[in-house]
Amino acid sequence: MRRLFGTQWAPLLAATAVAGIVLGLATKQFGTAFNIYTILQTTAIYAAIGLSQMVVLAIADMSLAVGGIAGLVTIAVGGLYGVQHWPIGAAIVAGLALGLVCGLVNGLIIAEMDLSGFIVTLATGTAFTGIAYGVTSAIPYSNIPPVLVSLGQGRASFFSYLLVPAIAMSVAVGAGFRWLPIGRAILAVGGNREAALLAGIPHKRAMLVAHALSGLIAAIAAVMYIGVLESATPATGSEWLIISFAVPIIGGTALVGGDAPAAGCFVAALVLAAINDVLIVLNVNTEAVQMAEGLLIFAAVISGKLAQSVGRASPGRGRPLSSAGSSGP
Amino acid sequence: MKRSIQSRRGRLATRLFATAVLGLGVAAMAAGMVAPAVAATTLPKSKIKIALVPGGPNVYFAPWAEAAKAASKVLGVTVSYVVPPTPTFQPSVEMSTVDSLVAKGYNAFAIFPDGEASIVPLYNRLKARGIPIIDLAGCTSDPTPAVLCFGTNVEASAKYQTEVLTRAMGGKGKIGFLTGLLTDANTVLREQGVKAGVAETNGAVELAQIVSNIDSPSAAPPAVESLLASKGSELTGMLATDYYPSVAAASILSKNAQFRHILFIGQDNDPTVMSALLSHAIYGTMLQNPYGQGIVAAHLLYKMLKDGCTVNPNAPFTKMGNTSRFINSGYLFVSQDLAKQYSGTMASIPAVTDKVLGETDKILSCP
Amino acid sequence: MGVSPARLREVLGSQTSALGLVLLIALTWTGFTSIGGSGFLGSFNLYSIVQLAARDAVLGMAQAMLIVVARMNLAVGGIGAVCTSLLGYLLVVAGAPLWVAVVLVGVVGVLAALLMGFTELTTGLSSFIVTLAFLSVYGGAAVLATGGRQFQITSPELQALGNGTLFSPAICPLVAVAVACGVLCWLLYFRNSLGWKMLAVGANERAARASGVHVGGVVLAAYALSGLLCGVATIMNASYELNVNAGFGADWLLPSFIAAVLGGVALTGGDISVAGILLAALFYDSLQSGLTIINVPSYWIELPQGLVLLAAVLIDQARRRRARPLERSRDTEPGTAAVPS
Repeated sequence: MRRLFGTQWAPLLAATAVAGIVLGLATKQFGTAFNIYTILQTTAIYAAIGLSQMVVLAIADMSLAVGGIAGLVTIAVGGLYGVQHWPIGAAIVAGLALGLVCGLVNGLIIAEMDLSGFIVTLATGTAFTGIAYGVTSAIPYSNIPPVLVSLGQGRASFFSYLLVPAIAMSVAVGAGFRWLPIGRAILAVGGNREAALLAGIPHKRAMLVAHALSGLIAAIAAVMYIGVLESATPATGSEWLIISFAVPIIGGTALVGGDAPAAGCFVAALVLAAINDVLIVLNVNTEAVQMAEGLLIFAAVISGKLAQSVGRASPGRGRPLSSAGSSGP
Repeated sequence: MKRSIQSRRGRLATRLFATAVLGLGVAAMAAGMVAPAVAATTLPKSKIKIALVPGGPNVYFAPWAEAAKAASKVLGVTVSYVVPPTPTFQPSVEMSTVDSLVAKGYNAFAIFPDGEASIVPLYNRLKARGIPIIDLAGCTSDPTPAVLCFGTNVEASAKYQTEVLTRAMGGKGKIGFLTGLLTDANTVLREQGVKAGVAETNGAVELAQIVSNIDSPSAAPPAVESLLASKGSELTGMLATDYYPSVAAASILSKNAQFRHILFIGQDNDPTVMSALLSHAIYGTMLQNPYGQGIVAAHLLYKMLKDGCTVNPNAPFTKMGNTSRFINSGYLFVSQDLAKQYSGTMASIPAVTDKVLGETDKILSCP
Repeated sequence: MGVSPARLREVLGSQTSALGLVLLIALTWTGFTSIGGSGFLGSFNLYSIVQLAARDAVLGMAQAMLIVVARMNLAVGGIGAVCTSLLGYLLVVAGAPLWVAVVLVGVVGVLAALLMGFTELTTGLSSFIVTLAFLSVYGGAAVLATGGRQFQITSPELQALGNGTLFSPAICPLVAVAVACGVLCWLLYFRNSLGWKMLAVGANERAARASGVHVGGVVLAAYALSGLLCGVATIMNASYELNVNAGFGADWLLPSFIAAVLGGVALTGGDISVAGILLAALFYDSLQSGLTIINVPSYWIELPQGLVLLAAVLIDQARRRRARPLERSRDTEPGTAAVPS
């Protein structure tokens, strides 16, 4: 119990639950199955986007290419299925492989050249987006496989089918960080790079795996999203940047690395999706969404810090991340 | 000419060792002395190079590419479709693209202006070189060097769309309105059009909710779903004036029969929208005429360069909010009955295109 | 000070990046001209290149102010949106005199950035997160406050600044603004103790603190200057866009980093090259124009922009590694290390 309240996202979840119950009682539309499905569908997408960022934050790096990879994978799957007439299974596998390769490229450059992920992925993300626009001439592929549409828009009452891959992925990532040697190596390098080096942990391989995994998850998020819009456009991912950071940070991922709370990501995704929905249900100006996301990052981080200081004293966790990912020699 | 290039290159080289900024500044000054090419009153076909420049990479403009090819074939001159590399329609990128095209020898332009005033200084520079410009699909504000503006009357189109919808709703009920960025001038015009259409019902139809800023792939689907979740039971009509909300609404209404009591009219003929229309999941969609925009603009520019025509001040212009020289490129309500005819084709309204081409001698006065 | 050899090397390093850029510009421009014809170097084309490059150079300096102290400003566009809205409101709605509007835009730019600085220092969050969150907050607030309204700039002085010419039809007066900002930055970093302290904080925050530098104050000063330069960029932008709204600034992030990083500003802090930033902006903005002229299909032009940044980062890193082999060799452990069980 103590452990639950010590987590950064606990106060947020509690506040959201209370707000949700109050809203559900106050406006009868909020609690309908369709509305809850709407929130959960967005939650699943946000959670996938956030996980993609979280696995690189775990190694104290970051990726600005999540959206770029998603755009490229979206048009690859859409084009291979719709234009090249590949079977849908093959098109999806090729799309996921492409995401993995994009992530590997990022990881290779970052690990081999000893660079910060920020600037590398800013560059490669722009390049991936550029390829997506170049290949399609900005025209979306509209022949979307029915199976992806049923995945993206299918539901059993309030339960969006997208939750299945999102939850499976969260569990797999959470378990991987906990039990797989490479997962623990990523956390070790993220937590304290110098110590990990001294302990002989292969930090280059860890960096490579973290970025490859991020690319793969971004590709999965893209495949999940194709059916939601029922259109494969290169613009997919163009607005994922802030969400990709907001979800893991609100979910309690320490930016100093060494931490990967997949469950927290899920809670944060739920909160952000609910806010998106509530603003429209209550007929508030949708421009406020953008502002709310920014403010929520602060609210979550500050409330999480308060909760943590109540829960347990944690020395050495408050160190600010040197923005470029290196504090200099 | 050749000597001046060599001397310029030489000067650039000698400056490499001087302070960098100053050196490049001097090179730029030297380059500035090259005399601009002044357009003659009439040009042979081989000298005519027309460019259609959209606002940025966007599916709406795709028919311009086909129009450029078709016009090039018919007219026997270069007609190119060149997209400024700015998905967010940044005026500065568009200006730099146009400048590059001028440097390449293009001497007539049809441009979708990324800012109604931002691009006017560029137009002034083009005009000073005798290069004619047509505003295409969007207008610059008067006073503008653009000879005319040819595009969809978005306000009238949105008003008509609303009128068709309210009529279908039996003249009463509630409407939800899905639209794009508030910072886009067209969004404001569309909203005015919808409000004017609703006002005609004298309060019998209510504009229950406006959801703006959702013309993006990630924002449209959840916003449409949230609107349906909260107001789905009370709404009897829904409108979208932008691409992504139309696609999202068409897709969601196809999958959720419980909202079929809502009559929806979307925008453009994306395959997702057309298949929803064919299956009667939505009530209709508004078609624009981007193909005709490209064809007409290329023809007018061609005549201006080839025969030295100028714009007739007494041409059949419409007065619009920001310009007095507007010609409507047309809009069309595509009902379920017409769906087959307009599916799988690029957006084009041939009747309007032919009508405007037939009026060329009224629009231009030729020597 | 024990760091003087490192500083000497850095000064030399930044000069090589500026020199390299001059060569790069000469090379690519020659290429564009020989493939695409002399039009590339025509006054018409150069004018629009330098007009854009001037603003991007100032954005690069705004970014560099914080990169130098080992931080970053993702909110350049957010501050730009706030400043643009304010400028539009003051000039168009309130009818304020131009100088009042310009001063207030500068002040608000500084305040908006200072707020981020205070947040960073009080919460201990990284500048990345703080400025990312403020990018959302400022961008959203600007659109909400103005309702997305368009402001038509009619001030003749501003129009002359952004669309007039200086000395030659190829030069936009904005170049003078960018060069002036560059000179002031150079004076700050190379002739002023504050700039020296900024470099010291960026190179090694702990060592700077130990040697008596008031790190918090220096960081706040860096934020303030970054905000001020965002204000300047806003005015430059408005002077040639003429019709502005709160959506402006959405595209500023990439050029600000490209100008700074391509210009040789080390992302790890403690290093600056003002001439490099000016030249990098010029190169970046001539690239798009040049690629159009040599007939690269226009949908593909975004790709090289990402690749150029990537190449710049890789070349810069290779150069730095060569310059400091001893310090870096420590990090490259033998790849055969075993996975811990």
